[in-house]
Amino acid sequence: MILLPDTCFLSHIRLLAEDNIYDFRKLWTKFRWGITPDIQKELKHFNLFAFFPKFDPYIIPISNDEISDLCIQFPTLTHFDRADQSLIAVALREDAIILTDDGDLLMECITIGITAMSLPVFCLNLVKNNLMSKTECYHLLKFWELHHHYTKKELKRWKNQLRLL
Amino acid sequence: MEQINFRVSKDEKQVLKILAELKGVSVAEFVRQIVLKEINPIRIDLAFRLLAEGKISRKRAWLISGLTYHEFMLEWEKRRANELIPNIIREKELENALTIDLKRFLKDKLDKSKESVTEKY
Repeated sequence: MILLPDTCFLSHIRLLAEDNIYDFRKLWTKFRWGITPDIQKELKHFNLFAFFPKFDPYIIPISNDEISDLCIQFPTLTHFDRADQSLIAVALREDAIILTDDGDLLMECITIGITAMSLPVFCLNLVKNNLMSKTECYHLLKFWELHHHYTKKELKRWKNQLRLL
Repeated sequence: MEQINFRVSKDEKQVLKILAELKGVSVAEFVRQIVLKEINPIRIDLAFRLLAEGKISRKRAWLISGLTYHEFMLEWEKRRANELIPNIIREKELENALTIDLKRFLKDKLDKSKESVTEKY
């Protein structure tokens, strides 16, 4: 049981903290996180470890053969970079959730039956599990609406869902 | 790192050599800086054009743009960019998410479940 964030997701979290909207780091140490060596490379490249000093994820190795076999099984995966492929490979063999803000990765995961969530949906799940307040989630949705980070239709759906929680 | 090779005339090389010396860098580094400076505005436009055409998604667009994530999202806002994600995917994402007990992924929860298994045996 592990959460697998991608680089876009973690970068989005950093953006929200830097803009003083919401700091997810307080929730960080409570969860079991995992990354692959390819994601680790990206995080180092974008200096994300400096922002997540207490981020102590499990590093889950993936072999080249595993990636090659996966691309044969799911040819559409050849369009993804190695970091995304490695996340999908881990999610297929572990009880895991991919957390991504990249539309292509989200679509691919859902199409092949992997549980994946974007940041707003992850927030709704946090509210459902009493790990985030409704007000905090509402403020985040308002921020995304104000800055056009998602479409109006998507935001309307998530707001409606928040009301039902 | 990758390498690009290209040919220039003797005169052109001479000019590049003089300009590089003036900047105090090697010819290769001088040319690299010039090329990257030149393509910077193009790559941002290219990233958002491909995104608007649905040919790439957020991550690829961000990487092509060469911006930091923060800068990229500011540009996203300025250009009113959108990622084309079908309704059915968003519905399924939400449907899946709401059936998941996220507490199973908490460290404490895992430790407690391990303890109870140990106790049983």
